[in-house]
This record gives sequence, structure tokens and C-alpha cells, in this order.
Amino acid sequence: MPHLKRLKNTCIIGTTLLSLLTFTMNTHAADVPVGTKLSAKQVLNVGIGAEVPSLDPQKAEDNVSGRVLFDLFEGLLSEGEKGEIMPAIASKWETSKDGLVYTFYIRPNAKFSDGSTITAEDVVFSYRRLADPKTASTYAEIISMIKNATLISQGKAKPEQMGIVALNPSTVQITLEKPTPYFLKLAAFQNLSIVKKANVEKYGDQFTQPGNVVNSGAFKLKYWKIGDKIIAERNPHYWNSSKTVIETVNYFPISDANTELQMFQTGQLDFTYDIPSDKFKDLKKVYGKQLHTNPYLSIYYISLNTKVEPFKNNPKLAQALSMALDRKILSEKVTGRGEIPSYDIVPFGVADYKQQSYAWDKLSPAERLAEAQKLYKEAGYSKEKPLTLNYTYNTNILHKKVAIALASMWEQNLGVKVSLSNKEWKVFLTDRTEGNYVAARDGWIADYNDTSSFLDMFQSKHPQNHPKYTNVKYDNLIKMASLETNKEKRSKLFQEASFLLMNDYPVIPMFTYVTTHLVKQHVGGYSGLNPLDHSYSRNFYIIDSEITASR
Amino acid sequence: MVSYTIKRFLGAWPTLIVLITLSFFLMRFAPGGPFSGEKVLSAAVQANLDAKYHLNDPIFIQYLDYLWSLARGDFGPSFKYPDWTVNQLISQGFPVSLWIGGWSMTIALIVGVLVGSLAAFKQNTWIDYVATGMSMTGISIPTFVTAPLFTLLFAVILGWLPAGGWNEGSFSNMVLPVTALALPQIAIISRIMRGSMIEVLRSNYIRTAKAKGIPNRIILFRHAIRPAILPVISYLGPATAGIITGSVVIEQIFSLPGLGSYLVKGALNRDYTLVLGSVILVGALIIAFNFIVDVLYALIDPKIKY
Repeated sequence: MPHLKRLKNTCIIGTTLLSLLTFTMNTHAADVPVGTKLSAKQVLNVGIGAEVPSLDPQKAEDNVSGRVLFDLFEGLLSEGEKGEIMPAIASKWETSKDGLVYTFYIRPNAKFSDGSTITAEDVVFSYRRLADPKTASTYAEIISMIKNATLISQGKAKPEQMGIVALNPSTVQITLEKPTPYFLKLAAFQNLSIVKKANVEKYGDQFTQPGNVVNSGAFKLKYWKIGDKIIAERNPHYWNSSKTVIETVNYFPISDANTELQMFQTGQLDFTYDIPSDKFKDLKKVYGKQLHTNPYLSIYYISLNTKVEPFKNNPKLAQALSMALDRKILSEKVTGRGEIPSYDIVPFGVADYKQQSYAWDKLSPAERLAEAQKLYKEAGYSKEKPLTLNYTYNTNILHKKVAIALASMWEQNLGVKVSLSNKEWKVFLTDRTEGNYVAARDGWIADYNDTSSFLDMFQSKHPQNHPKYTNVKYDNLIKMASLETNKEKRSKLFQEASFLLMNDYPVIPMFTYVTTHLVKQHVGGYSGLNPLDHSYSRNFYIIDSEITASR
Repeated sequence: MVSYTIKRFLGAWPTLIVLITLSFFLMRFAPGGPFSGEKVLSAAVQANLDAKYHLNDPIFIQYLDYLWSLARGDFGPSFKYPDWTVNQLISQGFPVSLWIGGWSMTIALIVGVLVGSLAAFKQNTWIDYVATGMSMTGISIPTFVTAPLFTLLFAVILGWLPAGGWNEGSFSNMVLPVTALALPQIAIISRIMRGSMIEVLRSNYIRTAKAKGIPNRIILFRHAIRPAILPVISYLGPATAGIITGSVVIEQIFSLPGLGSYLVKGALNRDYTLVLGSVILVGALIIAFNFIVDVLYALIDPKIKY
């Protein structure tokens, strides 16, 4: 059937061209609705929650740094409002059939904030710099799929041996060790933002200082004083600068949510990082649509140490404990900001994944409780011989509230005697990592929107595997999924792995987090639809206050 | 006087060295390291970080290296803020604390001395009762109560002043933190001053002066204030050092980028060098202010022998 094959080829070429056209036509810019009157003063005041530890893209490791870095630097690719991958410094790209070789074409007008052209050499330098042991990046392993990157970060190969080359001044080719379906998402991640080689080589660790730094993003750094604020101004050399509306962004590192709220109330802030957790309902009444709550690609869960009693070889006990928790009450009455009850370690909203649940989730509360009590007895415990359990959490009002609630549920439903241990952050981390706990508060926020971001960490030898979970079948499923290029097959493998993990009960997932921001009505361009809560100031605009008042 | 000053100056150094040594080892033995976080690092990444910051050297070598750096005036790189050195951070944070603390102490000193003197001079009158009542209130109510109340009233309700932030040191951003920080100090200083002034006013030479018909204001400002202020001065030394470096609560509430907040953040983050740098500076300031007070005391009070 040669004509069918020709038709299929035509369709593929057509779809590719269409998608390429769509990519190149999409703009990263404020999409100002027709008829909107813009304010003459385009200044955005943003609360960022805490101090930015680093503005070095290759060293930054937190979402606070990310909020500023996404404005100041850009990668080969970037994200749209909903987190979709979009062209950025690279205007287009090609992927080899085996999914191992990516070729990126840098747009001719891609320039740094000093007006110099962004070259393939800068891209190669930025990627190599991330893996280089001299940089000592905590995120060096995020590019472990690139050829030789792991060996480089281990000091066993030179950065020049990385699978990335500049084919010519505007073309970069990246070779992977294994097909990685989410690689394009990584190309938009903050750690893979492009820095200017000559600038970094000139100033070293001080290259991010105002006056030294050369930016590749929509904004350039003007002022940075630790604890005071960061000021960024529109970068006139940015390739899409003509579509950027905001002229100045002031980022305020306000760690106290109450202070941040007061600054919002007094008009010092247009956009808050968070809200005081205990004031959600009142603020919702007062601010209505200005209070945005959206699901966040993150999960709150309990880790159960599978290497110590009582959870060693005792999944029935863990299941009883999981069944005895009413996640709905927990998210409605205890956290109360719209958190989504979860049974799967992969949270709600992860791309190409259907969140799993248990069959017992469908049982009525009474049936579920009866089943939990039965399992509790089968695990060797009863009212006469109750389980005594220590639950550890770090100092935080939310964690404390959750700890008290779940201790109460376990005690009431099963008769478990729960003792709570509140520990200072670093002490808690050390104990949890080293396995010096029985049950502990845990949680994870995705770095990138992919199932692997959550499931990889429960592989036997993964450093993030706090419950010390070991299951060869699980490891194999994750390994198979990591090599699978077919999206549907990959998704099924992940779902199978997750279901296996869920039924082995090394963890008890509780709920998917939400983000909460107060955003002034005069700020346009924020939809809250980015599941990773990435905000790009280039998408925002300030509406004239008179128009706002009349809305 | 010179030998006394030199003796006091030299006597301060061993204290500082003990402080450095204790702080260094206490920080290193605290659980958790500067790079431990929610994301657990792999052995290779941890090794790279340890090598970069020389944390893989034996601890005594690290200590000697640190002392050598200090001798050259280098506090080292910050572990939490890799884009900055501790010298840069301190040079940013210290002026903020100095500015806020300095203004608070100046206001507290002027108002406290005046109110205390007035209360003593008008002892057992309504002026004394009001002043005493206000100072008791000032001492009783902690700053973590007054500061949010001020913010609520002057920022949120009246909208006169910003609720927080440093805003490159603008005057309006300083009013509330300076006032909140100064209030308890005004209360303490006025209490000390009142007590001391009452004692002085009951002394024989003041009685003689009164008997001679010297006007009250001359008695107060020329003869009574100088001896009465001595207890205030001895309080002022450690208090000034404390208020400059230790206004942690105020810095947190108003989100100010001062030294106190570095100290807290540094300790929580196990940012060894930042904590050490801040502790050394705080220690040096306390020692320096005590030294200055000792010298001032000796200058003001002729009874002091050196």
C-alpha cells in the first residue's frame, strides 16, 4: 500500500511543519487583551518568600531563586503560561529517530543584555559548567542523561567530553546516553539557562553581582542586596523585548507571611509568594478573585522506615494506618486551602499520568474502618496490645497541625499510641536521611513536570529513598520506563510501578499541595495555570488603575 | 589612664579568640551540614561541594585555615549564598543594623534621660506617675507585640508608613522599626535615670546648691546629670552592642536585611562562615563597647582608679 505510506509520510511532515510553525509563531510575551488600558508605570512588585540564595543559574537549587532566574536568564527552551514547552533562545529543534540526539538552532537575534550575540559556544559552556565538579552544583545530576555528564560530575571525565557540541555558531547538538522523553522540559529548567562564557570567566563566582552580570533573559539585574530586594529592568536586547510590557520588577524577600500580607494590603506588593496559612478563609472572603489557589506538582506524604520495627516486613500495619486516615477531613479541615486528597505518590496534575487510587478508597467510612481494624489485628496489634508509634516532623505550623490530626485519627480509629517529635530542620533532615526515625513527615515538589520526578526516588539505591524501600520489580519497572520512548507504554509502566509502591506501603501519600498567591487586580497576565508555579514577569502587565476600578 | 586603656585593650583579645574557637567547633559539631536539604545529595555531588569548600580536610586543619583567613581579614565564602563572600554580606548587613540600632539608641538615650530626670525631679507628682507608668508598660510589652501593633495602626489602618522592607534604606521604612526598637530602651533608660537621679538629688552637695538658691535647671543640667548618668552609661555599652546586632525580632517582623537576621539564617542553614563572621562581629562589638564604656567611665568618674 505505497499510497497509504505516502499519505502517512505527508501527514507526518505536515504535522511536523505545523508544529514547527506553531512553535515559531508562539511568543513569550504579555498577551494584553484588546481594549485594555495599560498603566503608564509598568512596575511589578513581587514577594518571593525568602532571600534568593543564588542568581547563578547553574548553582541555584530552589524555587525562590527560580522565580528571579526565569526573568533574568533563559534556556534553549522556555515555558508557556500552562507550562508547555516553547522555543526560547533556540527557535527550533530536531530530535533524532532514536531519541538520542537533539539539535537546537539558536535564533539569530538572541542576544545577551550587553548586546552581544548568544552563541552555541555559550550554550555548550553553560551545560558543561553545570556538570563540572569545580562548579559544585547541587543539581549537577539533573543532566545525567547527557553523554558523559555523570562521569564529569564524578571527576572521571573532563567537561570537554560531554555530549554537547557547537556544530556552528548558531547550532548546538546534544547527545544523550539514553532516550529521555522529558529532556526538552529540562532544556527549559532554570539550571540549564544560558550564561555568557566570557562574563563568567571574567568574574568567576562574582559574575552575578549587579554591574558584573550579563543576562540572557527578558530582564537584566539592576540591584541586589541580600535581605533588601532585587530590582530587574527590561532587557532591551532580549530577542522578544518589544513584546515585554513590564519595565521594572522589584522582588521582595519577605519570609514572614504576615508581613507579606500587610505589604500587600498597603500596596507595597502586587503579588505575594504565599499567605498566612491560618487566614485562608478570611482572606478568601475579603479578596475574592485576588486570592489564587491552584494545584501544585507536589506531594505531602509520610515515610515509614521499612528497615526498622514495626514496619519491617509488615505492610499490613502500614495499610491499616493508611486506611485509618481520612484525607478529605485532613485537606478540608486541617490544611483547608484546597489541597487535593491523594493516595498515589505521584500528585494530581502530572503530565501523561493518571493518578492511582486504592480499591478501598471506594468503601464507605465504616467499611474502611472495619477493614483497617482487621488489618491492624492481623499485623499483631489490638486495643489490649496497641502499637506505640513515634512520628517525626520538622518545626512548621502546617506540619504540626497535620501531625496532631493524624495522631488523633490513628489513636481514635485504631488505638495507636502516637508520640510526636518536633525537630529543628537540619536535625530532622539528618535523621530522616540516615533512617533514624520510624515514621516521618515527607514531601516532594517536582523539578520538572514528569512522573519520573516522583517515582525515581523510591528506587533501592536512590539517595532520596527515605523509607529505604527495596523492591527489585519496582526498580526494573522504573528502569524500563526510563528507556521507553513510547509515551503511552511509558505511562503504563509508571502507573504499574506506582501501584506496586502503593501496595507495598513504604509511604502514605496524603495530599497534593496547592499554591496560594494574592495578586492585585491591576496585574494582568497571571492565570495560575503553570503546574510548577513558574511565573514569568514577561507575561505580565499593569492595567491602568482607573480601568481596574471600573471592572 | 593610657596604661589602663592599653591593659583593657589587650585584655579583650583572649576573650575574642576563645569566642572564635568555641563558635567554630560548636557549629561544626551541630547536626546537619550546610548542604543538607529536602533534596538529598548524591555522594559525588557532596564530594564536589566538600572539595570546593575544603570540608574534606581534617577539622583542625579547617580551624587553622580559618584563623589564617581571619588574620588576613577574610571571613571566607558563604555556604548558603554562593554568589557572595561573608565580607560582602557583613558589609551589607552591618550598616543596616548600625543605622537602625544607632538611631534607636540615640532616641532612647535622649528621651530616656530627659523623661527619667524629669520624673525624678518631679518625684511623686502626676508627671512622675505618668513617666513611671509608661516606662513600666514599655518594659512589660515585648517588641514582638508592639511592632505588629504599630504596623497594623500606622501602615495598614492609617496607611502612613510602609509595613515592612528596607527599600534601600528609605526614611519611611525606618520609622516603625526604629520606634519599636527604641521604646523598651527608653523605658529602661528612664527607669535607670530616675533612680540614679533621685539618689543624686538627695545628696548633700545638691541640697547645698538648692540652699544657695541656684536655679533648678542649673542644678539639674550642670550638677546632677553628670553623676546621675553614670549607671546609664554602664548600661549603654552592652545595650548598644545588643541592639545593633541582636534586633533579630524587629528585623524579622519588618523584613530588614540586618546582621541579626544573618545570624539567625546562618545558624539555621548551618552556614558556618556566615555564623562565625556574625558572631565574631557581635563579639567584637560587645567587647569594644564594654571597653569604650570602661574608658568613658574612667573619664567621667574621678573616683575610678587606673
